[in-house]
Amino acid sequence: MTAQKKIHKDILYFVLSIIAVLEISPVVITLLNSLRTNSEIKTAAIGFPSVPQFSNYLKAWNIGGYAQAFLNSLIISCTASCIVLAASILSGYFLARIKCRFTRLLHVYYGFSLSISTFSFLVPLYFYFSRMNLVNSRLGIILIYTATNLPFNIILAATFISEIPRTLDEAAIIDGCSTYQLIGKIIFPLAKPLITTILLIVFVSTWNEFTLANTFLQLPEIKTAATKYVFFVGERGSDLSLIYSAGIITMIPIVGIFLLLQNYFIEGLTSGSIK
Amino acid sequence: MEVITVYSHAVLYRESHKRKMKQNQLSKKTYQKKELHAAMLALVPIFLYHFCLVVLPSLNSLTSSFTNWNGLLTKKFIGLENYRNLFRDTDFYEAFFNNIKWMLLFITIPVICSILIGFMLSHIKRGRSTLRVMYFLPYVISAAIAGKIFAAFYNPYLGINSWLKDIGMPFLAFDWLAPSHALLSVAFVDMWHWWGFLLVIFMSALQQIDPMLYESAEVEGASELQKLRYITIPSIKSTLVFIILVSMVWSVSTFDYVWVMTKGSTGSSILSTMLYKNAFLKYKAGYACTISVFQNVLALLIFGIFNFVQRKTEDN
Repeated sequence: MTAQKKIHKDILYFVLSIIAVLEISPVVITLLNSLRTNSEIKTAAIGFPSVPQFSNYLKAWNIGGYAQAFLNSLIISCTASCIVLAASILSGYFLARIKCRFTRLLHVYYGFSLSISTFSFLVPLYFYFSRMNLVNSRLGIILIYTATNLPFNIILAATFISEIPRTLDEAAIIDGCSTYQLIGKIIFPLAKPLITTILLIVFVSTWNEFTLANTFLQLPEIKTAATKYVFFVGERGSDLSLIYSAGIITMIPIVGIFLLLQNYFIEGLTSGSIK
Repeated sequence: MEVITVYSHAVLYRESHKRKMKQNQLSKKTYQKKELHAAMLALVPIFLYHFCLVVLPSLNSLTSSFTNWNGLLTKKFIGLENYRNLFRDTDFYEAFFNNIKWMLLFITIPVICSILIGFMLSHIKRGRSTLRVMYFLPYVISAAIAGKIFAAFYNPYLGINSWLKDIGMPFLAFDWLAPSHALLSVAFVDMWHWWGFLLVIFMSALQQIDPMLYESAEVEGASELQKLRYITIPSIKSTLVFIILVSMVWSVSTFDYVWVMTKGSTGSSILSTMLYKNAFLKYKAGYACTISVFQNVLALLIFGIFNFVQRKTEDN
């Protein structure tokens, strides 16, 4: 019985490992190809580099204008995540603590907003923004990202804060804290897991976002890293090694954070969906 | 003497305590008033901000769908003209059926894969989290990057086809992004990226199942398949229903992989790519809004049917 079970377990490990290898093989192939020369890739699409061409990265970085693209992405993602964080904790706190008709209505409103797809507002918003000179501007895309990320994170924050016992609030109130002091001094330090989750969710989703960035950021010098990559491949599609090395450059920040934080990252990104 | 001091202390204490309580109650009331002020000061602007950037333009989509708006000049009300044109448009039917195909793919393949593999993962302990990280990795890669890299793999001359011929499988070396199967090739990439996310959700649902159920099933001599069928699936039913609902609604407005890989060229056009082309390439913004209204009606219909079915099954 136990011997049979062990064989079963071995088969299980074998199957699961094969699937895992297949699952990450596109990334590994990309990594290998990013270090090969153009002619190597043309003769064999998959293979090991004979001599690792680290210069590919330098070339892709310079030709692609990645310094500018990373700066754009960094500014946009950081600003959007900080604004969303502050707004969600504020809204979440009041939605969790004050029970009146207005807050209940807001809860429903944000829940309903989750189901609004990008395409329901994309066309009018684009033409409004182009009239207000907010197309091709970092400010414009930050405004949109903040708005689209709000509902989910507000609900997340409200759920988390409603689990913090109220007695802590009351003690602080008796000691004479104002509401904003209370949020800053009591709720904020207690909500560390919430804060990292929100920052992670917003940062990753805005860094990777394609549809809105592709629509609202059309000039090459204002594009984010992900959309810059699409543009880059369109311009230099014949240069195969550069496609792969630029791909690695573009995915490295997020994949790097992911591999560093691993399970914490997974739980952060899927929190809220579970429940 | 001592008794008196103790007594007077007690009285004094009680008096001061009473006063403090009263003050507290008073300050609590004024505090609540202040809190409400603070709340409105935060809640209302944030709500208005979201409303103006998301809901207002969405409502504008609805009204614009009845106009001949080109995005720039003034709009003219043309009634149901756009809708009439939409239902006469052969492109629309192609796009719509492609969306249906996409939906059917996404409510089956990734869901079945992630449940099966989640079930398999629940049998092992060592290495589980490493495997989970590997399965989840594609989810953190942007559609823009994954789409373009897979497009390079799919390239008929420079992609994996030459490799497929080398390893003796030339029958697989066809033009992956040709119209006849472009949609499938694109959907494959999206599923590669998506199922790891579902896996994590199903894994946490599987963890909630009482291990006693499996143990008693084992005593009864149930096979693994029977356990999956009679214990696992019924226990995660609510998660499963939710995932299917979300997959269906998202399929209606899926866009990024298709646009990145084929730009919705023949064979892979979907409602969103049709909308995008009309709005930003053909400058038929009013017509594009009509498509978005159709997408939303479709999503609402799915919600409605789900609600209806769920209520029916609960009644029975």
